[in-house]
Amino acid sequence: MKLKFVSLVIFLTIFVLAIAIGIVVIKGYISQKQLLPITEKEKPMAIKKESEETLVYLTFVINVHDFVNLTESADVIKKAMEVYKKYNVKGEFYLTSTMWEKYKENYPEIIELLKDEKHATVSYHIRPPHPVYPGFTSKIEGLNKEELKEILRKYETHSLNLETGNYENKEGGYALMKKDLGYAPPSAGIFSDKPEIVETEVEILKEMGLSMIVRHGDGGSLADFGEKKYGLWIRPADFEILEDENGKAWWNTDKKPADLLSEKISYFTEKKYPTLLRVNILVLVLSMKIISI
Amino acid sequence: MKDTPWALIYYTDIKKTTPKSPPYDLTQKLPPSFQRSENEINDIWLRYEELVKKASEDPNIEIVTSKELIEKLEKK
Repeated sequence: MKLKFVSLVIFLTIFVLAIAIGIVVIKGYISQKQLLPITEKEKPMAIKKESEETLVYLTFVINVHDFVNLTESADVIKKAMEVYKKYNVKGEFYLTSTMWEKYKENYPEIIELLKDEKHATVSYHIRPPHPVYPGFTSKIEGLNKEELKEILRKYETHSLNLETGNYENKEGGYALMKKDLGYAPPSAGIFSDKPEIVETEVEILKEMGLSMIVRHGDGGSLADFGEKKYGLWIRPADFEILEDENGKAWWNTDKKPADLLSEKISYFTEKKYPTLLRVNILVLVLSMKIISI
Repeated sequence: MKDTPWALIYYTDIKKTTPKSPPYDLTQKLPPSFQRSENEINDIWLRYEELVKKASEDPNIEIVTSKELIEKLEKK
């Protein structure tokens, strides 16, 4: 009887241990499987299974600054808006204040198109002869902080004379765009090689409602999600669909940007983030300058 | 245009290496050879539209502008 009881205890112990070992093995297998690279076929399902969050945030960016070919530039905006409406998506147009004024005067329908907040966000950027732009700073050289702030505020509230580089006695700049749009352009590309100039320009635009800046520098315009500078968000971007490995823009090659997008996404999911569990947010910025608009 | 259309107004060269001084001559344009043909432009648009279509149909892609990004950053 005693022997039978001992045998039963031994049997039960082995049975429980076997189940426990089995669970550990299965668990180990599952976690190992999550770390294995996924195949093309598995990918979409795996992404949906492991993460409820969006994998890629994508922005269609169009820089608009061709005041020389105003009609062609207006046509590009019309065409881009047609495409965005067709697929019910939104694009972001970075305009210089010069372009805003010129459209307002010559193509008011473009202003109305850009005001369609369902399909467009208007942001701001700076090009020559604006005195913040590198190489065009002669009008603001040697000024102290207060003087610099005062003169840059004039530029952001007045029209820029393209021939002299001076501001005119006419409303313009970031302030006019904000007034016409009914919202402050949320993001701005401020390219300058002088930190004190960028800092002052950002201070002024921030007071007017700017929330985000685009990084310009050696590393291009890439930035992490949540990075800040001058008290503003830096536009986040893990990659751009812009140039190929030889530095050629996709529109100057026969490459398809849709293919480049797939390549970039798979690079990020398979190399930068080998386990999908780590993927939270990727941001992609697409720049398109079809005819340098 | 195959390059920055105002390059020669503000710079001495198309590569934009040397800025000019004011007054700037607004009549300075790029040579006609920099103009894209209709076919080239149409081809670029076709490829661009293909991308927009693909992105809009992908359930793992959310198309945003900086407006939405700022909202997401503020909530974070």
